[in-house]
Amino acid sequence: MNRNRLALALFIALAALMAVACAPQTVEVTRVVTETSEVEVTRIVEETVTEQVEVPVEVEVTRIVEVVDDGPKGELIVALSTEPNSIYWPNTAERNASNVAAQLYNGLVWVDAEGKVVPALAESWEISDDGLEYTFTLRQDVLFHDGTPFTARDVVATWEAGKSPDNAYGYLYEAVPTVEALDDYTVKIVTAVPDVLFLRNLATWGIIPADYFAAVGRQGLEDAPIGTGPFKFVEWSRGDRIVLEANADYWEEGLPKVARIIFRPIPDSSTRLAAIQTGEVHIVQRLSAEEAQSLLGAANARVVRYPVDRVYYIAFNNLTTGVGQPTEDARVRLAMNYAVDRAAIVQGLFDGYARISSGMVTPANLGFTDAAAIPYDPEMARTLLAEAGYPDGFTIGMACPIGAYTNFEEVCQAVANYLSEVGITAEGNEVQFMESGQFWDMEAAKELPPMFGDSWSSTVGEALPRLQGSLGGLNASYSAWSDPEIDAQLAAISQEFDQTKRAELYDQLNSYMLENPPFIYLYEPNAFEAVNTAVQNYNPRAAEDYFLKEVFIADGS
Amino acid sequence: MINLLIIHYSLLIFPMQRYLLNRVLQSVLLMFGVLVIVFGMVRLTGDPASLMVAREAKVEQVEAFRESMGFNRPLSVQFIDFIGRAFVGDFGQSLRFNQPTIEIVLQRLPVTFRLASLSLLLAIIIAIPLGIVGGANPGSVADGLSRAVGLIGQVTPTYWLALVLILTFSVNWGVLPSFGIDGASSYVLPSVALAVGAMGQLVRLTRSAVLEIRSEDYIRTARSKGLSGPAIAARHIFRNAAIALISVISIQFTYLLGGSVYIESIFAIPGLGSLLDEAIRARDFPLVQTITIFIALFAISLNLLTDVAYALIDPRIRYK
Repeated sequence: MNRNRLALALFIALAALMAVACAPQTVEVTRVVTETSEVEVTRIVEETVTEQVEVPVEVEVTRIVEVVDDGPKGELIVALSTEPNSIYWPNTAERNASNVAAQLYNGLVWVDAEGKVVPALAESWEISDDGLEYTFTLRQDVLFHDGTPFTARDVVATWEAGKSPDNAYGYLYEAVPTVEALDDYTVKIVTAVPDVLFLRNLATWGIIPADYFAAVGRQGLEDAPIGTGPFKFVEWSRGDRIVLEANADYWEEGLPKVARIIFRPIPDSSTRLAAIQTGEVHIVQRLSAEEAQSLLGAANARVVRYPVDRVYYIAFNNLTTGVGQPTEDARVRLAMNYAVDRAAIVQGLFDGYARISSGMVTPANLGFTDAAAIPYDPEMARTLLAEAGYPDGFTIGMACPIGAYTNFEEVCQAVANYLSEVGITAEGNEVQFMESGQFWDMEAAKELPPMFGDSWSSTVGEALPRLQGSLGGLNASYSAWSDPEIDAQLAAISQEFDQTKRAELYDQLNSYMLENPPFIYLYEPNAFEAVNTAVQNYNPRAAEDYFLKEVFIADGS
Repeated sequence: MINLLIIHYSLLIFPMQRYLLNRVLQSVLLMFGVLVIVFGMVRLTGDPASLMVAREAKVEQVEAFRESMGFNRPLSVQFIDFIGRAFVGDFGQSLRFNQPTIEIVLQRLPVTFRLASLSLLLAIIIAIPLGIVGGANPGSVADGLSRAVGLIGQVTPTYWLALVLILTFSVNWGVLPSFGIDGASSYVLPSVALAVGAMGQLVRLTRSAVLEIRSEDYIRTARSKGLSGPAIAARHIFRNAAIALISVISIQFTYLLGGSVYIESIFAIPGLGSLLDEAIRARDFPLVQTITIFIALFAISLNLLTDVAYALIDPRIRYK
């Protein structure tokens, strides 16, 4: 009996020990919250991206660091949220991969921090009047990492290699019928149709060396990439790390600033959070709002927060399952936009860290004009429904994916609840939740119910790909909507080369889409990252990309 | 024909061979079953085209992808093709990494193997002595401890334990790395996190096996003919308990390989487990198939070896 009790006591002691092991963390967090108040220092990093630095009050807010230029120094360790599938740019499946490729390669042009297309390996270019022919004059002082000079032949080779259907983005290269070297430093590129986004896509054509590619082939280039970028490839130990070192002959004066970059895949976000706290890595991305919050008191890390160029929405279908439904009436769709309290959703589910969408053109996009989002007004919704002939509402099918997006199930549930308050009930009285893989298959087959939740990002700084993709009718894989007026306006946008005029066209289209909404617009979430306080000049952009050539590590850390 | 003769011959003459042959045939059948299940399961999760092809791509481009990957063929044709190739060692090309899956798997295998072996070793070193001492002295302090370790080991969620270990040893105390593999110290936290579950089960089973054997008639006989306690323990108790333990240890090793899926993902360890996690997320059918086949092959061979070990240790099994 006594011994049984002893065993029990031992068990309790052990359990207590385990509980204590994690207890200091909780205690510390509480202390930080009560003793410090937050100061928000907001500085405009670019037109659209706001970097917010949240620090405890007793800590110095900004550190002015004297930069003495004595060549690249220090080692920067960046956590990636997945192992890159490839670091050959046309084949990079997502941001983790393309962000590594972007340090190794240069394109002919860049999209700068203001979202403008600026010269990179091409000094200048001319566009023919019909908008089809681009003639680029190339820089003559650029060397590849293996010492061979960069010439027009390399641009042709890049295009030919990129066209392979094995590449995730092969279709972007495939869409270009001709790339021709006129002389060593002049290249002519002809597009099939006038394409206003062509230069932005061209910015992702990382130029590869023609001779090297001919010698080693595609796999050789994947295994030992050579480009003209600020960093050279050293080693890729799969699943473990990718090591790059500064390119001493880089053509941009004074860049890069760190001597070495090590990318390390850390798939679990709680481990990324731990690794930034221990100082084992300098930059971590894709944290949740709660995780970022828990870093507020940390001495060696600051949180970077910015809106992501990704719009979440509930889409309507007027191509297949939605034909003959009340949602074909614009007043009904508008009523649904009025019926949903997006501010409450954003506050309740995202602690307010998301922007309420005012259409499909986001602040990071050309043509954004601070249009007002449709307000929450259930009375207005009821009036509109009555006008449309549905004073008592109706029943309609709605589906949402599971497991793909943060809190999206809860969002869909909330939307359905708000709609039911104006009499619109989901079929079977519930939202159909589906595993995301199955959901996207059905979305592509256009077999989803007449209303479904999803999101769409843009990585080119314009809303056109998102608009064409989601509203392209039967031609676009994931579109469920077709509207001749929208088609006409999209066609006009895609042929308007003047950026100012194109911006006006975007605004016009967005206004039309607020009056005749093909979506219930929801929100654009914030991205949360954490950066070691020693890291300077790190400026991620709304498309979740970044250039590390400007980043340096402050002395004394 | 010759094969058949040999089987027939051995059926008559050598019970040991017959026993082994049975086990091998069962293993082959089991492997085939695994192939069918794996093939079917990965395809239940949907079409890789929706993840592999850019969302902005046109309908024809998505079709072209399916065509080039052969995903538009009937499932039965794809399955026969898959089996045929797997038979000659061609496990296909990874969709995500554009590399032969076999290369990737072989690259990632050693780390996982090391991690699982370390965890098993850790579990054995602690669990077996504790279980034996506890079982041999029921009601003692050691017995209480062995029961506590058994219980805690089995009820502690691995994911939670891994995070607690990271928070304590990496974040708060800064003595061990929180992720990745940078030398030997990187194995400490993941192998402890992985070992605790196995340790719990091993302690319990060792303890109960010893307890049971203690009250057997032959132990009483041994004691009555004047053998000392330690001699009984070594010659009679442990040898008999070993049978049960071998099967548990081999099963635990397979479980540890399975557990490495989340442990490796949490600790960002470049092994087979984290690779499987990535492959499933990316719906990389060929890669998921190859990894599963490897793990299944390993588990089945281990079972086979265990059966052989039984037969060697215990004559009763050999002649049954």
